[in-house]
Amino acid sequence: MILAIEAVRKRYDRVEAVRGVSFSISRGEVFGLLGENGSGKSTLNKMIVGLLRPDEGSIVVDGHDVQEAPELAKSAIGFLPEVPYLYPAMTGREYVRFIAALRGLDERVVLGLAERLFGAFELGAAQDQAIGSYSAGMRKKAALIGALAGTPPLVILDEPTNALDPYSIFLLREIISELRERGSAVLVTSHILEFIEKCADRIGIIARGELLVTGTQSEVAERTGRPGENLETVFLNLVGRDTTSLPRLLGSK
Amino acid sequence: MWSRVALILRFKLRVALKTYLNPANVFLLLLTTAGLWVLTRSLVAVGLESGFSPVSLLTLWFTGIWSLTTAAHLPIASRLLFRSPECELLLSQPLSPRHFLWERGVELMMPQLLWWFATGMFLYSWTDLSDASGLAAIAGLVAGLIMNVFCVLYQLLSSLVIGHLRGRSARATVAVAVTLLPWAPASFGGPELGDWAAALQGVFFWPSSAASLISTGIALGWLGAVALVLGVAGLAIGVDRAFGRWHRADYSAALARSQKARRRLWPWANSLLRPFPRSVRGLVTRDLALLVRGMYPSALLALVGLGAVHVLFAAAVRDPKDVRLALVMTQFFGIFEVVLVAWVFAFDWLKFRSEWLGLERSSPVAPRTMLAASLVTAVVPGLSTAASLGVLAIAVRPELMSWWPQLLISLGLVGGVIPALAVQAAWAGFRDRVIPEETAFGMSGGFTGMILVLATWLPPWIGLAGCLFLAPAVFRMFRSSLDCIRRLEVTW
Repeated sequence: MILAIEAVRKRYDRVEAVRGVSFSISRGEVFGLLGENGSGKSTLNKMIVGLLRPDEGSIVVDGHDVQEAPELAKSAIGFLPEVPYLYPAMTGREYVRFIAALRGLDERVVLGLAERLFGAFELGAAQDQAIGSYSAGMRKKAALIGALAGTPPLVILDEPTNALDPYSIFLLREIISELRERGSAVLVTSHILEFIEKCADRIGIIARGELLVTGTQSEVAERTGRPGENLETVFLNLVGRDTTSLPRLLGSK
Repeated sequence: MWSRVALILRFKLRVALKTYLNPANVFLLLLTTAGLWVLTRSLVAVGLESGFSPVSLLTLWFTGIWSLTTAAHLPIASRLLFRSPECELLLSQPLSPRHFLWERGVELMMPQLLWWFATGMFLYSWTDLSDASGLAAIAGLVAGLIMNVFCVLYQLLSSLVIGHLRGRSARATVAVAVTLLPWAPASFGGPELGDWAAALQGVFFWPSSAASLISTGIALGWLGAVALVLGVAGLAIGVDRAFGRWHRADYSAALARSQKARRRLWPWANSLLRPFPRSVRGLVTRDLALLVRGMYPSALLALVGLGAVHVLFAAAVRDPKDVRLALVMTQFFGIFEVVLVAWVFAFDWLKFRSEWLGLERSSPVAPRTMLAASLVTAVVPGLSTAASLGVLAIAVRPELMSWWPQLLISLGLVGGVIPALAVQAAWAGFRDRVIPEETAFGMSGGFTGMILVLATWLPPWIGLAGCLFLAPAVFRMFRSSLDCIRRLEVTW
């Protein structure tokens, strides 16, 4: 087990953002966490990487409690936040080198991998340009390459498809697949159902801070009484969205 | 642990050097230093004529300069807040908050240490360390340094709180509020506590001099300002929450509210702006409505706090022989106050405007209209500065009623503050982003324009020094303007 989350709660003032969430992820597994905007996905991610402290419960990464041994736990995680921060004055290559140095990784190995990924994402020339000149998609790719430095045993991708073009999304799926083959676990949070449908071994659906269901896609469909239905139908049904009797949103002609 | 801290600092330093260390910047730095040096020596000479000791003059002068550096801290303070994603990046790596704390500590302390070193060098060059005044100067420096350590610790704490809790919890809101309120110790601990240190220095070492009284006034004023800011911070948060806006992009609700406010409160503004096209008028009056609706209680608080400083400062000067110096210093601080307050208004306000203009950009409003609106609205803080400055100047120096100083003041304003604000507005608006560092430098052009104005009230050779001090900022402003225009890519 690379990640074990047990009865985690987090409250912001009057809002309970995460309510008693428990699940685990094994090595070599891709877990897709689905939820609407504001459902608690990013809060959960931030608690896993130690940016937020849970009010209750425990999070263990690679055998280390995130609160008790944060440095050991974090050294097992590669994290791509929803809106990544990159030093605008650094070049892409410098950023990767910086991350490698922070994590105590072999710079040559990390830069070798980064070189391949920059090339694959067609950022070969841009890797020596200042990040401040990058587009949103290029920043996302650079941050992703940084998160993959050293191919950590747990990779957390928060809304990884935002700002990416279709080919880059395809490449991202390939990368996730390779991580699985290498034995790394991937936690992907997204509200893009199609992406999760294509790459996740198991999924979890979170709504209003509560993890409603986990399992393979067919298990989730069966448990929610929608066997054989596509993920969109299952998801919308589970989070209580009625799509059948919508009024004309733009009004009558 | 230190190897990690050194690693982060090394990376940052390398990038900073690569970015900023170019011949133009080195030239500007040298020019600024030379200007500052000449200006300092000149003012000291004036003070010596009035019978003050070099140490007390230098202390006062550095207190003033320190206050000026508060201005330089504005972008840094806001960056502390906006750097919270950097906290996110670093803290999601296998680093402990301790690494981060030390890294930030060293990063913040270095300029402070350099500053104190420079101050020490100035004092050393003017005093005999073997006598009491020399010892007092050294003691003052040490006191200031200790104060700085405390203030940096405070800054660290606040930035860590922001880094950890950014965004949503009550604690985070308070942290954000404390950082945003421009005169709170979290953002401006260094300069304020520097003033405070200088004041304590005055109180303890020159008990019967005007310097001590002035210093006491400054210290009490700052204390009052800080207490006010902290005391009303909760109220400010409450007001903001009541309006449902705490740096949230609630454009439609804000638009509705501002339109309502405009209809009810600003018919006269519409009539004043009648000569302008309707689209420009709409944008300008909306901004005025937003401003007056209390978007920036912090700036008002700052005004009150600085007003207290001013009153205490003026009250502290009792001996007729101190009047000349007091006049110089009062003008200095007076100008500092009005310009800085105007700047705070403009700075915060334009940050918000940049979001607004981002919205407008996607609506059918011509770029020319937006730029015109920016230029017109930029005049508002400029004019308020001009009015305050004019009143202050005439109250203190009635002879300034004659035409040539008025002309110089006007030129200083036109040549400094207003274009700087306009550039800020245009840049922020068209680039959809928070004001960059370069334009903050541009703003300092306006600020140093004020120094030029001050210099015109003193002998001409001080004016020359002011020009030297002004030149780099003007150059930067000019460069910013050019870059702004280049980036507009608009056919006029």
